[in-house]
Amino acid sequence: MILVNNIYLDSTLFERYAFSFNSYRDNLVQLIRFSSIENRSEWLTEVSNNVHFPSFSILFDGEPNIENLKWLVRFSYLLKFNKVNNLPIVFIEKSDCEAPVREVFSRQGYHKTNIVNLKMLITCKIGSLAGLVHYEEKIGGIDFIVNIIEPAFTFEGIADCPRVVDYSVFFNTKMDILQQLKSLNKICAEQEATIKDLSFELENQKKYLEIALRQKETEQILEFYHQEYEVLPLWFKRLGHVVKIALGRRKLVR
Amino acid sequence: MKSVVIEYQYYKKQGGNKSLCSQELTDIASKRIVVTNHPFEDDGKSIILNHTNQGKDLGGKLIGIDYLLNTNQEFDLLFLLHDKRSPHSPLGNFWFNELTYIFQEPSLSILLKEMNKPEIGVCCSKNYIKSEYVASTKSFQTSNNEILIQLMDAFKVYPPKPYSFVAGTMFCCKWNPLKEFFSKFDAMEIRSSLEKGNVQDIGMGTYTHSWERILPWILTSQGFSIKGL
Repeated sequence: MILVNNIYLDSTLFERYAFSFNSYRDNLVQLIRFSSIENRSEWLTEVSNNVHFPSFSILFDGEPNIENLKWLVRFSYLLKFNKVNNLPIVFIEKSDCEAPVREVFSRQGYHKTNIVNLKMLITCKIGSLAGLVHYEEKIGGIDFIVNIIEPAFTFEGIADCPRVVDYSVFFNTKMDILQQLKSLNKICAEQEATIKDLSFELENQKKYLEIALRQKETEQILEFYHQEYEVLPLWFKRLGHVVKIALGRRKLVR
Repeated sequence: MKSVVIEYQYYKKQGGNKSLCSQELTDIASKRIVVTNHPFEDDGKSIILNHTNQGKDLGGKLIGIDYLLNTNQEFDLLFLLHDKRSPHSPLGNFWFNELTYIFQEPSLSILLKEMNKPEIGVCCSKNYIKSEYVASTKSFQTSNNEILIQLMDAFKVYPPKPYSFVAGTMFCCKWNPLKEFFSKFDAMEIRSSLEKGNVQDIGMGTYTHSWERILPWILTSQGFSIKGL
């Protein structure tokens, strides 16, 4: 597996970046250059079989031809491919890739694709969007980490980014918080599912009650009819018919 | 014979989704491709793929087929399953049980024996081998008639009469004929032609329901037959 120019983006960046990011899945998202994947079949096998492979997004820097785009979609079906509400996030560098990427995902049933132009992300005001950003060059194969802790100050681009020598304290605190967030989000998701199921059950019960109550009402009407009419002696009912005929409210022969 | 299972799970189950495979099928399968968007309780044998709701279970199965082709998997038998509920029909669960009993013992051993025969291409529940062909009109008695004729010509799939297929798309089939077909015709491209959402073919035909019929025809058009158990 070849990983060059890896970029790890803190998932909360997406939250601040107007995506409701599902941050409990993973804290860090690995951004992999499409062009760095040499043997795509092997890579697909590797990522799908390796449970420890981190969540990733693809930086689509290839030619937007049919073959490349198909592989991009193929990668997007992998469990570890970064998605927001099951909608993929794809990074691009060139604006002319946006339309074909959107098109190929749309053809596969995605009603929306989150496309982030990486150049815009780097050169624009990350700081103002995301708060404090840590920038560390070339550490253990990681080209840089964009990590948000607390809003502190802003900067205009990577070149202006302040170098933070020791960020481990902040980073670890942040990781703890993210872990908590992860478990809370999980509980929240479970509760939401339970609520959905219970609501469905409640609707069923309401329908049942409605039918049951209607049945009671029907029984009451039948009871009333029985008490008011059926219990009368037959001779009285027949006399009633004779009176009706005499009054012209009923014909002798129907 | 080396076997692989593709199972498509659309519905979310309380407490996490589990495999639809019987224990016997799990034991014989070398790999299981689970296409789902829900948390899945894996026993370490599954490869989980996500999907979009396009082409119903067939769209999910095409994702699995595409994955198998593009990861160059070598095996003999492919089992196709999905969590058929058919909410529009009170018989949804009944259908699932009727279609999948062949993946349990004692039927599974018979199935494997049958699949060993060179002429057998597909094995399925015997009550679900259907044919909609009407010889007198030379057409299919289904809303999908026109699409079927169009697809048969486009993909050069000409199965023998009476054009039997497996209703419910849960069966076991030989992989090589499928592999040959999908190497020529891209599974993802086919998938992109399928309808989005929970489509029905009542009144108007759909590509999704037409491909449900075409899938076993890929094998029967290559000279293999369907065996019902």
